[in-house]
Amino acid sequence: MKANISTDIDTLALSNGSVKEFDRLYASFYPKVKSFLIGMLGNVDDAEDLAQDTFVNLWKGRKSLSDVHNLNAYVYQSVKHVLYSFISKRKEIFNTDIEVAYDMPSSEDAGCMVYIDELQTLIDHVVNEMPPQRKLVFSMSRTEGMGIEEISEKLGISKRTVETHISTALSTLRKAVSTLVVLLFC
Amino acid sequence: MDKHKIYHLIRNLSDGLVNKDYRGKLLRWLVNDKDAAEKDAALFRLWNETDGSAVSQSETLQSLSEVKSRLGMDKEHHQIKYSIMSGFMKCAAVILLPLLSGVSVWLYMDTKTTKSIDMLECFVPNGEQKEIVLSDGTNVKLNSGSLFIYPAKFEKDSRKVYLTGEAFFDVAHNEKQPFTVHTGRLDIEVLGTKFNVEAYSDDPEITTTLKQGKVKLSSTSHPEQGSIVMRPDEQVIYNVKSGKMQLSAVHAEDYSSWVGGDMRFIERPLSEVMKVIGRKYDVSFRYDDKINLGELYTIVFREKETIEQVMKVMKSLIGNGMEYSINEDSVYLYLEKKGGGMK
Repeated sequence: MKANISTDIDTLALSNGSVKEFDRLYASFYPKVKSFLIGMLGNVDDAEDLAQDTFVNLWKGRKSLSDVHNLNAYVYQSVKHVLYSFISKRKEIFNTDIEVAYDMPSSEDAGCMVYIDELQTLIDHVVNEMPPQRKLVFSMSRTEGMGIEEISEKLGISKRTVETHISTALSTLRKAVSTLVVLLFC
Repeated sequence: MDKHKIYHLIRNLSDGLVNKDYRGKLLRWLVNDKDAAEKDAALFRLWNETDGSAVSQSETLQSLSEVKSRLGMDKEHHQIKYSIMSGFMKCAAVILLPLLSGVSVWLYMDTKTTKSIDMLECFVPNGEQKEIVLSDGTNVKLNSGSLFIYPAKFEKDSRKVYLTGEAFFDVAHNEKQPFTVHTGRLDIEVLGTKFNVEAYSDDPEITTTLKQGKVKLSSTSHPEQGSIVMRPDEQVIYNVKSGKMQLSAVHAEDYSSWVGGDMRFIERPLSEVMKVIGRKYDVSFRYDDKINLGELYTIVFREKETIEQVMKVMKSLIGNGMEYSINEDSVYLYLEKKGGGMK
C-alpha cells in the first residue's frame, strides 16, 4: 500500500472487542482485500460485498485473534474462505456452457488447456515486444514477484515510473488479448 | 499442473487478461481439490503482491460505516468512530505519521458528513504552533501536540470541526451557521466568538475558556448532564469521566496567553507546568521521586526563552536543592542532597 499505515494492530485488544482496533484493522486491510477481490471476481459490487463479509467474519471470530501472530496471513485466509464459499455456492452461475460435469482445466478439457496456453503465449509475445525498461519492470513484477519498492530500488528509478510501466504494460496486454480468438470452445 | 502455470493463470485472471467467459471456469477450477496446495501458494503470493492504493480512503470509511451498521456497532449516537489514517489530506506543512504509534486519537463524526465532504487535517507536533484560516474566515491557532480536522468547505447550515489538543478560536460570526467544535467527548457550539479549548487526549479534563461572545457546551458521553451556556471571562472545566461541568469566573486573557507565545500558569501543579513546558519545547521529563509534583506554582514564561532559561527559573522556584540535567531532548529533575542549598 502506498499509505504508510502502521500495522501495529493490537490483536489482543481486538480479540477482547476493541472497536478502535477493528477500525484500524479496517483502515489497514480493506483496500488490499477489496483490490484482491476485484481482481479475482472481475466486478466491484461483488468485491465490496465479499470484502465486507470478510471483516464481519473477522469481527465475529475475534476471540481467536489473541493467538494470531501473522495478521496478514490470517486476513488472507479469511478472504480466501469468503471467496471460495462464494464461488462454490454459485457454481451454476459461473458455469457458462452445457457441460456442467467438467471442472476445468484438467486433462479432459483439452480445449480449455489450449486457451490457457494460447493466452500465455500471446502474453509472453506481447511482453517481449515491449520497450526494454517496461519489459524488464513487468517481468520483475509478474515473473519474479518483486514489489514496486524493490523494483524501484534495484533499477534506480522512481516508484511512479515503475507503476506507470506496469499499468501501461497491462493496458497493452488487455488490448492484445481482446483480439485473441479461440476456435476451440470448452 | 505445474506451480508456475498455476500462478500465471491466477495472475492473468487478476490482471484482467482472461476473457470473461472463461473467468467463471477458472474460478470453479480454483476451488476444486486438485493441486490445492499449489493454488493456495499462488493465491497467497498474489495477495502479498496486491497493492490497495486504488481504493480511496472515503471508500474505506464508507464501507466501515456500513459494516458497523450491519454489526450493530453504531446504535448509541448514530455516529461512527473515525480513526485517523495517514496519507489523508494534509494541511500546509504537516505529516501525520507519528500519531498512530503514540497518543490514540478519537474523534466522532456524523455518518452524514463523512460521505461527501473532503476533510482536511492539521497536525501540530510538540514544539510547534500553527495557525489556520477556515473557509468562513474563522481563525484557528493550534498549540503543540494538537490535531485539528475541518472540512475544506462547510456544509450549508452548520460548521463542524474536530479537535484534540489545544486551540484558540476566533470564530467568524454567522447566526445561520452555528460553529461546533467536537472534541470527541464534549461538543462546543459557538456563535461568533473568541475562546480557548484545551482538550488533550491524555488529560482527564477539558477546559474551555471564553474570551468574547457566547458558547454552549454539551457532553457527548453524558448527555444527561445537560448543557451549559458560557459568557465572556468564564471557564468550564469538564471532567471526562463523570461528565460534570464546573463553571468559574476567570481572567480569560490568562488562558490564551500561549497564543502570544507566553506560558502562563496560575496556581497550577508542578506536574502540569512540566507537561506544558514539555509540549512547547518538545522535551520529555524524568523525575527523581523526591520531587513534589503536586506543589502549586504561579509563573509566566515569555515566548523567546530557551529551555535552559526556563529550567533555571524552575530551579530557583522549586528550590530545596533541586537540580536538573539536560540531555538532548530529555531533562531529569532531582534533589541534590549533599551540599545543596537555596539559590
